[in-house]
Amino acid sequence: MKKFLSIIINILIIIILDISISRILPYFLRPNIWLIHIIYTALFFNHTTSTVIGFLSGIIVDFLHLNIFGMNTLTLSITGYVIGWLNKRINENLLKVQIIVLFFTSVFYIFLYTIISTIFHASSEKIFHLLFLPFNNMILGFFIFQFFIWYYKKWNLV
Amino acid sequence: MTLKDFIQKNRPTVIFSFSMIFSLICLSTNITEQLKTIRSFFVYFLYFTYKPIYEVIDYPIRITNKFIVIPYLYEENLKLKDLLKKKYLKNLQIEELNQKYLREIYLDEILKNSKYKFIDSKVIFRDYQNWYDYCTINIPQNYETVKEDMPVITNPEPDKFYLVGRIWTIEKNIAKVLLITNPLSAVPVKIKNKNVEGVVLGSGSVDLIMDYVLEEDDIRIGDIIVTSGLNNIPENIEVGEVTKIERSTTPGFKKATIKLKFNINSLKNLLIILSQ
Repeated sequence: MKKFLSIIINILIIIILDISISRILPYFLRPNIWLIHIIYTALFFNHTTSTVIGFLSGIIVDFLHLNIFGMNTLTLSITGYVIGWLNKRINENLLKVQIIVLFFTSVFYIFLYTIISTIFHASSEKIFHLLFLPFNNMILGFFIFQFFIWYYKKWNLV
Repeated sequence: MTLKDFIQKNRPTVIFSFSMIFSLICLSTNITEQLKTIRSFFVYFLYFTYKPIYEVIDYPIRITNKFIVIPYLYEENLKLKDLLKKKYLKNLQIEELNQKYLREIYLDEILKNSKYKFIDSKVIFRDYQNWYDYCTINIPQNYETVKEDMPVITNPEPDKFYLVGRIWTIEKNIAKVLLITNPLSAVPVKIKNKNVEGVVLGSGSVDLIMDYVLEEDDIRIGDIIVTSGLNNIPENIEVGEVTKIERSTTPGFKKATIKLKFNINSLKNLLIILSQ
């Protein structure tokens, strides 16, 4: 119950953060907070949680953003499921591991997004914006990742 | 292995499969349009988080933008002022041209019906210390034909001409007019339709003095004084009206006070009569 509640509150915080960041930063500096959260749950919780979070985050993003409905649900679900395999297989407490995972997961996300948007004829403009995502997630996203670690430690879940 | 055991063992894969199926159904059926209402509903309930964030984030942006806009506003203000100035000057020019055009039409009309030949001029300066002594005029056209002592008249109405004075000095297209009210001015005059002659002298005010009228001459209050045609001033140009008659300081003569029939304070356009 505590875990569920903390995740719900964190999702609300992410919604606020997402809105704020989209308001403050230009597209080429925006990290994908949803993706960072999925990576966090995949590394620090378990495979099932990361898949569920991926699915839920996808639905929320689809509702919030004006895009084809299902695009983000599919991409983030696949990302959550695939990254979930890394759980307990790598040392998630090492900062360099966190950075590398953030970078390569973002690359994988872009790859997935590009393929799915090509199949379902989504706008190509969005894909261009995503080219900056691995670097943003690696640099800015790293700090948000640390925020998640701090947040879940507060709830004594990690 | 039962289904429950399978689900327990492969829970992530089951959830993933479900999410895949769900997403693919959504993508394949293209329900984006249908979900717009739900999305709006969703966004509406999130508005309580949007609004304060927007306000907090937008406030410094708005303030910064205002500061950024100041130099642009200043520049625009300068440009607008310049434009306004130009427009104002243009407007003045148009107004002047319009007046000039109307004046030309008016003069053409006068010239057709008059026996004199005129040159138009405009009063450009009057010294307040010598208000009734002289005025400075500008002659825009044919100024080379204007000579000293030429009579200057005004015509407040098309068929009414009143003597204003004479050209005193001339320099290119600027001339000084010795007004009829100047104490130095002396104009030979007569009473209209009567054989009574005299000289009108300026007194430095709106009233003139008609002197050297013989004692036996018939002069009455209300008589109209016109030029007598001596010197180079044409005959029968009105000067004023007799308002008072008294004995002159020169023995054997009477003098009369003449009231001007035009407003000498508001001289604007004057006509110079060319020699016939």
